[in-house]
Amino acid sequence: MALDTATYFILISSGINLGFSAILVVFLIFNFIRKKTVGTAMLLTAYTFFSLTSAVSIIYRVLYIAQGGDSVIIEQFASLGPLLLLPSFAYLYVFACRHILKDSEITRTFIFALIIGFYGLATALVAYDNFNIPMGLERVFTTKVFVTNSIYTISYLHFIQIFQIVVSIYVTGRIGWRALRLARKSDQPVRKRGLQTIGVGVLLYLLGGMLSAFDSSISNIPFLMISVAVLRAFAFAAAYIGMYLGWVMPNWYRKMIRKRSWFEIQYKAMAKGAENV
Amino acid sequence: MSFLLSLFKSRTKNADITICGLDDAGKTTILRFLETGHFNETTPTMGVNRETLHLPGLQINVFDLAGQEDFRNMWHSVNEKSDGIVFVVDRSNAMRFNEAKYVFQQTTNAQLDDEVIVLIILNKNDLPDLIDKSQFITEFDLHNLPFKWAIFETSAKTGEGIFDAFKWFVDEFVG
Repeated sequence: MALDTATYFILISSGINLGFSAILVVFLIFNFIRKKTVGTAMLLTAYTFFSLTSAVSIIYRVLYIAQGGDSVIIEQFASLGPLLLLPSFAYLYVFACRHILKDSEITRTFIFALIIGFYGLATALVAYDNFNIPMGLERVFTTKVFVTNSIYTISYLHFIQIFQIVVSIYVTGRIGWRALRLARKSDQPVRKRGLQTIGVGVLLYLLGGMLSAFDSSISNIPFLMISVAVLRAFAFAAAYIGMYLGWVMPNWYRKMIRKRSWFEIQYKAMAKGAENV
Repeated sequence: MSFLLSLFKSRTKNADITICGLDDAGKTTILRFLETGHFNETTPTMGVNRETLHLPGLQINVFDLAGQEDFRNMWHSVNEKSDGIVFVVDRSNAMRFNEAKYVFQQTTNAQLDDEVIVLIILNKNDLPDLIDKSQFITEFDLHNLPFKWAIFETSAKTGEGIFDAFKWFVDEFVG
């Protein structure tokens, strides 16, 4: 029962995540229609995959509730989450290279190809077993490998997760470090705040990632698990919003950052004075 | 239908204005004064500086153009789309008076739309040996200028006259 309650809470928090990321995808679509630039297309692709990850997470949990527990299909489905995050980071990395990272063309291509290559291979393995299982055939790539008989088991899912964690820390860490460094050097308020927003967004993403890791170690304490899940969802949602605002810098955000000019203050004060008279 | 359209129509008017004049006339210093309310040392402008002023019902995009001779041939592309121009003259520099007059006439004769509002600023009022305002009006033939215009004496160092000059300009746009 406790586990069910936790599952519902996690489902709701995933919904929050999906809601925010989907809204940002819609904004980015409008942005792309208006600008029609490669950069906007890359950011849109990254955010679309972020949204798909949240959607898969919800479907996975709905299946879990519907089937009343774990199953092979659910296990297969669970692997799609970390898998879909890989193209998000690949496109986010290439997008960041166009703006703040200074990697050479060769490095950029190599890193992008490595992430996308791994994504393609892992997707193929998951798809292969997805066809095998319903037909009653033995799982080929998802067979659990026993590292030691008593303690650890490793499946391909763990490899995907490890690779995804490495990629996400590498990409977000580099973007965050560079954005905050550039922000410190910049004397233009709008640019400075934009870079700081990206930096904070990335830090929140890493916080969400750490909470995810923490989450798996407290699965036997439902209250803590629920709290962590909700916190994690808000951390990820805030991270998506932060990175979006920092990269896109919508007009209303620019206006908010920009200090009012001396002339504006004087003119408005005078206009107000005239109204009072 | 028009009611529905009015709901989606922006209530803020947009106006593009350009600040031109000879190099070292104080164009960028005036722009910085509008931003900060105090004097700022500036370096010669290479190209264009852009600033936006948000006022009730009006957004003004200010384009501060480089005054060096090499940059003057690009003024027309900005001036042609402008709703108003601010022409800044260093009134302490009699040596360049004729050059300023020539550039002013070139600008007003060939680059401006009929509806444009022209603000002329006699800047550097804080310095000695100033060109007389009435002499300036006569020499520049302002009375025959086919635009709505006004002339103000300012100092971007002390701030004298800056607010009044731009207030006139903004009031003309707001109507």
